Amino acid sequence: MLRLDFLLRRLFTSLLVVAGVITLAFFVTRMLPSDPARTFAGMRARPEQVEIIRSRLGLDRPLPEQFLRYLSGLAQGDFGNSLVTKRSVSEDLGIFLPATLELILCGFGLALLIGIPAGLLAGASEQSAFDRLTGAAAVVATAAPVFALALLTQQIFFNQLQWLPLNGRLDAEISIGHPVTAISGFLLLDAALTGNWVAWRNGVAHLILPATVVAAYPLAIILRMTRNALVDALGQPHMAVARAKGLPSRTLLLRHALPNAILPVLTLAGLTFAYAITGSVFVEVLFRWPGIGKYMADAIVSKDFPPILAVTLVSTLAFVGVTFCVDLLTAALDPRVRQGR
Amino acid sequence: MSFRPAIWLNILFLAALLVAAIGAPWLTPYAAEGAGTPNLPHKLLPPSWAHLLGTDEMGRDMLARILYGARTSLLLAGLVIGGSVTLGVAVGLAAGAAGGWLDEFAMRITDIFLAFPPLLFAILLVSVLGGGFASAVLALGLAWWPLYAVLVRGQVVRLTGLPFVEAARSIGASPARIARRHLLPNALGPLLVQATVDVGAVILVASGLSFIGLGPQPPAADWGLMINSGRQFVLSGSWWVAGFPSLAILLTALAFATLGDSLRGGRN
Repeated sequence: MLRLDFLLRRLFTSLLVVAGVITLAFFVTRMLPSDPARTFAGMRARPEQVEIIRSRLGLDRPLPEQFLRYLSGLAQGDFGNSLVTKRSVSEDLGIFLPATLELILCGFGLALLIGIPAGLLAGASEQSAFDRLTGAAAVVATAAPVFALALLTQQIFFNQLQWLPLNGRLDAEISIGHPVTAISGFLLLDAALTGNWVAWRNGVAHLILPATVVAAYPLAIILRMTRNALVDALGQPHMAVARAKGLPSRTLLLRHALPNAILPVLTLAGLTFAYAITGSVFVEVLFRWPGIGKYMADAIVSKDFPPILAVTLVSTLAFVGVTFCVDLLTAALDPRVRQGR
Repeated sequence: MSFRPAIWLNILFLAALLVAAIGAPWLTPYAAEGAGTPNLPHKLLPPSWAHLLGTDEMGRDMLARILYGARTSLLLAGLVIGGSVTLGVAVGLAAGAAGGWLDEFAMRITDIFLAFPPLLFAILLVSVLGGGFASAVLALGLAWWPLYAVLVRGQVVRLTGLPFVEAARSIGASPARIARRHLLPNALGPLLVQATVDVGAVILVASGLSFIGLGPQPPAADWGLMINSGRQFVLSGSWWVAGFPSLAILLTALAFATLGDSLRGGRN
């Protein structure tokens, strides 16, 4: 069982980081040697246009007041309004977030579902052809830019083979002929709930390429980490004892090596979540996926600060949350950590 | 460490890349195009003997653009790594050597920086600074230094318990002298290995930054920028416009990562 004082201590440090992230994001953007209002207004803006942007961002007020407004806004889930569309950023996030979650959960799930078994297989057969092949593929995958992978898969599976759609979440004909009633915002879930299987199948086809590209980097890391952890665990003295006792290799692997190998993998899988988040920004741009990454990229093009800040904060806090959950899970599984030794 | 040809292949490739980057203006007959001058009549030509890697949408020789892009990438990554190693060493050394509340404080601040995914943090900073080479360097440097602070601080704490540091202290060496003469040189090895691997990582992240338009601005030659402006021509068949810059990023990142791994003497 998890001990309460461990849980509270870990919760406290996480909250400290959350408070720090929120504070840092504010001050670092204000202390940089630049005039944000000037940047967002654009090169050719007239002075009075710059002043309008300045007052809309609240940059004309004293710093402490700006900070208090920013904090009280965040406390109410208010990220301010877009400078371009004047819409509330929080409402926009509500619209775009489900698409991103769908993409990241599928991509990250894919990385775990393939990465861990493949890593175990490679580790159990060290130096085999499979081990070497997956090792080389993993090194290449971690050095490849996400956007290049996206372009490559589009070129192969859409342009050459014509197996999968190019971009978007649904074909235009499908979204007109078989519209999906929005319930949760998760397209596949909503389509399944309403029994709209035509749209569901089309949605899955649209999800395959972007989810695979999001998965590539985390998958490579998780695979190699699982493999290394298993090789380490297999080399421990207690394994030699277990082998000497004549235990079958299945028992050796599953009962003695696996429990020791899985902990470091868990911690690292949490860290690779950050890559899935950043990767999804490029994937959403290239696959025209209507999520918060594309929302942020559009905001970058139109020099619209509030959405950029909001997406950075939401993603970072999600990452802090995932790290927190991973730590709790590690603690629940590892007697040394939960007893604070 | 046994002789491994892979290490020398990496070193050879990176040395060639460095020479190509420095010598770009003299190595290619298309130096002006590499620097950005358009040559519209020659646009989107496939690879041939005249243009080994083809030409881009502005008719510029792709090979020249990639060589000039290597200058941008290597210079940018070098400045980012140099800056963040300097800052990271300063913070990590001070925190580890001082100990106590200063250590605690410095490490909590570092934790907060580490909580941001580096690319998102850099995007946030550059969006305020305005895109460009200098902004990208500053933003990536600010996103990168905490890794070195944590690394150096860990080394310092480990070394502080060892007899030779104890000995230096007992003969009356000042904390500053111990930090400079005993702690820093011993912490340097792992730091340099990490910095080597990270050059590749910075090139990857920086290419992402310029891909979304926040890095060096046109007409500068930059691999990420080239992929972004070339991507719309890929589906109509001009794959080389985005393909070769992608390959350049991939090979460079790969070379730095595997070189770092070999230096570490580790597996995989």
